[in-house]
Parts: sequence; C-alpha cells; structure tokens
Amino acid sequence: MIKMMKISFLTPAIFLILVTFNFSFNWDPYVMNFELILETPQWNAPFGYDDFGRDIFIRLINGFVSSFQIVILAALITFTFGTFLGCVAGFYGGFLDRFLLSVITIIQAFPGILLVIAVAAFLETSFLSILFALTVSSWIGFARIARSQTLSLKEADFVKAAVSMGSGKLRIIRKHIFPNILNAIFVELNFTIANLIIAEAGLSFLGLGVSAPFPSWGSMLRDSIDYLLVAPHYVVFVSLCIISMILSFNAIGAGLLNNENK
Amino acid sequence: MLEKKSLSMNNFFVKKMIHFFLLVLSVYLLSFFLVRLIPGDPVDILVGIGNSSVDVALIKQQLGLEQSFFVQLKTAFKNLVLFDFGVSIHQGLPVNDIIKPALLNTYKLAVTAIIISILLGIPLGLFVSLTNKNEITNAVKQICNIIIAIPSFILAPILILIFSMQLNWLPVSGMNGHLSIVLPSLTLALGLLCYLANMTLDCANDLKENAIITTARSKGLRVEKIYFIHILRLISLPLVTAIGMQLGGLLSGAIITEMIFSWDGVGKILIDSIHQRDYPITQAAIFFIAITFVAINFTLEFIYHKLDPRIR
Repeated sequence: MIKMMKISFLTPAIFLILVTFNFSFNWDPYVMNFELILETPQWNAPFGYDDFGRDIFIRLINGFVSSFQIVILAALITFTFGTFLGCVAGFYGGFLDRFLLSVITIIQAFPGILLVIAVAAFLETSFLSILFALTVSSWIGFARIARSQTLSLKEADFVKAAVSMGSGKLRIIRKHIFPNILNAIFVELNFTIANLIIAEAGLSFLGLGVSAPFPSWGSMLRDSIDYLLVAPHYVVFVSLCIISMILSFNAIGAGLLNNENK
Repeated sequence: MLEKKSLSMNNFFVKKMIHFFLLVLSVYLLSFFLVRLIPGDPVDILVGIGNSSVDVALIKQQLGLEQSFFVQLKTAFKNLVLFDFGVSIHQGLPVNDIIKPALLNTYKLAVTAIIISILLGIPLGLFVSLTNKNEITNAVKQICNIIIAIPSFILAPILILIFSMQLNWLPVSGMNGHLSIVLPSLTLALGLLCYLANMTLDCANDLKENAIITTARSKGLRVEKIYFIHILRLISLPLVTAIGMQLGGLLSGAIITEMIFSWDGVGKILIDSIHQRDYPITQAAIFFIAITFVAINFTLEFIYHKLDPRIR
C-alpha cells in the first residue's frame, strides 16, 4: 500500500512537469492540421491527432490545466468550509448540529453527481458556476468526518483540560481539535479530489462544463467516442489520462489511511 | 413482552415514514426552487433573447413565474400532492407522460445491473476465497479496486471497443432487441460487481476461523457447501447494506450511461431537457431520481431492521 502510494505521487508530478514544459515552450492546443485529422500516434505527436487535426498530447496537458484549476480550487474550498462546519457543529452540538445533519441528509438524497448536474443545469456555463456546482455537493464528506472526529475528541482528556482552564470554544477547535483530525481530513481530501475529477470530467462530458474550444478531459472524451470506430487511439489516450489521475489520488488516500491505522 | 416488541417495530416504522416524507418534501422544494439560481429573468435565458414577447408571457404563465413567491410555493405543494409536474415546454405533453416510460426504462436497466452484479460478484468472491491462495486474493482485490474507480463514461467506450467493435457480438447503442440492454447494464454493473466481490472475499476470509465454520466442517460437510450455505447466509446482511450504499453510484452512473448508449431512460431525458432548457422536465427528472434513491435506501433499512434482531 505504501509503495503504491509513493508510486502514485508520480502521476500528478509528471503532469505538473509537462505543464511547465507547456508554458515554457508555448505549445498551442488550437493549431489545426487538416491533412493530419485523426492520424495515429507518431514521433512529433506521441498521442496522435484529434478530429480537427490538433495534437491530442498537447490538448490533454492543457485540459489538465483547466480541469485542475477547478478541481483544486473546489477541493480547497470544500476542505476549509466543510471541516470548519463539521468541527463547529460537533463541538457546539445542539441546534447547530441537528441543522447540519439535516442539511447533509438532504444533500445525500441526491446520488453521485446528480446534484452537480442539477446546479450546473440552472446556471450559465462559466468557471464560477462549475466551481459552485462542484462545491455544493462535495463539502459534506469533510463535514461528516470532521464532525464525527470532533465528537469523539470532545471526550478526550486534553480537551477537557483546556475547557477547565477556560479557553474559548473556537480556540479549542483551532488549537486542539483541528491538528488532531487533520490526518483523517487529508485522507478524505484525496478521495474528494478523485471524486471531483470524475464529477468535473462528467460535467464536461455531458456538455455542461468548460465550453467548446477550450480543451478539457471530459469534452475530449465525448468527442473521441464519436470516432471510436475510426480512431480508437483518441479514446484510449484520453481514458488513460483520466483513469491514471483518479487511481493515483485513490491510492494516495488509501496509503494515508493505511498509514494512519497502523 | 411480545406486545412491546411489535410496538417498537411500529414506532420505528412511523418514525422512519415521517423522516421519509420530510426528506421527499425537502428534495422536492430544493429541485423546485433550483430555478431561482438563474440570475436575472429565468424565462429570458430559457427561451433566449430575440423571441417574440407573446412567447415569453405564455411561458411565464405556464410556469407560474409571474405570481408572487408564496403563491408559487402554495402551487408547488399542491402539485406535489396531486403528483402533477406541469407541461413540457418543448413537446407540449404532460411531464408525467414523458417521465413514466423513461423511469421504467431506467429501472429495467438498473435492476438488470444489480442482478448481474449479485449473480456474478458474490460467487466470484466466494470462489476466490475458496482457492485459499494469497496471491490470487491480492490480485483479484487489486483488479477490483481499479475497476471500481473507473467512472462509467470511460468504462462504456472500453466495453464498446471490446464487445461491439472487436468481437462484434453486441449492438453499439439504441434500444432494439434484447441484446441492446447487455452493454449498458454491464457498464453499470461492473463497479458494483467488483465491490460485492471484494466485500464477499473480505467477509468470507474473516469468517474462515469462525466457530460456525469449524462446527460445519467437523460435521463432515463439503467445503463448497459450507461456503455457499453457511458463509453466504452470514454475510448477506453486510451485503444488503453495501448494495444500498452503492446504489447512488449506480443511479448517477445511469445518467451518463444512458447518454452514451442512447437508452431512453430518465437520465437521458434529464440531460436532453437541460440542453433544450425544458425545465419542468429537468425538475421532475431530478426529483424522481433522488426519490428513487431515497425510497430504496429506506426500504433497505426496513429489510435490515427485520433481518437483524440485534439493531432493534
């Protein structure tokens, strides 16, 4: 598991290196070569060309940039917001806790990416609206974990000692509870990132994400399915990219979880 | 004593039913008022600028948007009680008439997927556990973990490539003939199948040293029989919970799977209606998918409650 985790850091790292190459060499994802439409992989285009004769490799790297801006931002927002809400609700208890629980129950009634689709459907497609749709549905994972961990930490001796010494509730959450639940939250962060990648790709696959000329993994996958018969390399490389990313974040999460349970 | 027990069952039932209806109500309100997220005038965005003003006024009236918020809220409640979801803007048909056949198609797909995954996943887990070899167990678990992580929009093209393009066994998409259900349901089933196989494997391996199994073996029962009767019965409860938990993924996977295979289910209708801005249908589709999920989970909770006397 730990070995898997170490290997898994490679995938995002490779992509980050390729992104720096992309910016320093100014690779253009929009250059069209009409004589090279759906051409198979070759030396100057390792992943081949797409239906407009654009280099798939370069488009995938640019798709990584646009997808990951959204995914990482959404992950950070949900991380902060969800953890804070979970800690506060768990520590204060009472009405706040019950209210948070019922909100979580309502959001959980929407399976998988249904809520993301629902929110995105009624907003005009833009960077902010996709970010909003992804955030609304994925903060509950953090809130649930933070809440349950806080509930059990509340009974710990060092928290009781802090209470008896008269420190404020928010201070206890910040100084004593938050550092202790950070491990569990980091595990959840990795699984959330994997889920956000799927949700973001799913949204642009359905045509609700980043719009047409911009490269994104989901919309590239949708385009590639139209050419499944003629150019299987297109769909294979796009799928490989998405799968490798999801699997690495899942493996990092599983490795951290394993580490923590030891 | 007996009376007390049945009372507690009734209590549980009533409490859960109230809980269920509250949840249905909140999901309905959420899906109904999502349209308020549209910045500015929703109808302008729905019909697009440049349409005649008569159109706009008519649609506004159809959707009841010209009324005040509280009147709309009242109508929304009334419509929920009457189970009336309005009229489609594009097709002019009642939303119920469009949603009902689509829901049936989706249920058909989902039920087939669940049956496939139960019939293949659980025996797979049991057989792997029977081999008693660590390498095989680990390999199967790794492969299953990978397949679980693959989203349906990647699984579908891979399956099409293998079974329709290379082997030419199954139709690529559409709803003609009995064979056309195989690929979409397999796309949906694979994740659940691997999840169930993994879980069966784990549970069966944990149970190997259990006293029940030792007793059964000392009676002289065959190992296969012990696995498929004793162990299967012991692990059925966690499996029921697992199926319930995975149903969410299955239902949301159905949305994308139906799009890829052009299967006329509620997911395809949902996405089509979003692109056509036919929002009475969008609302109803979102509502029905969520309610299906909630209803199944509550049913499973009842089954669980009935099966396991310990949690009463």
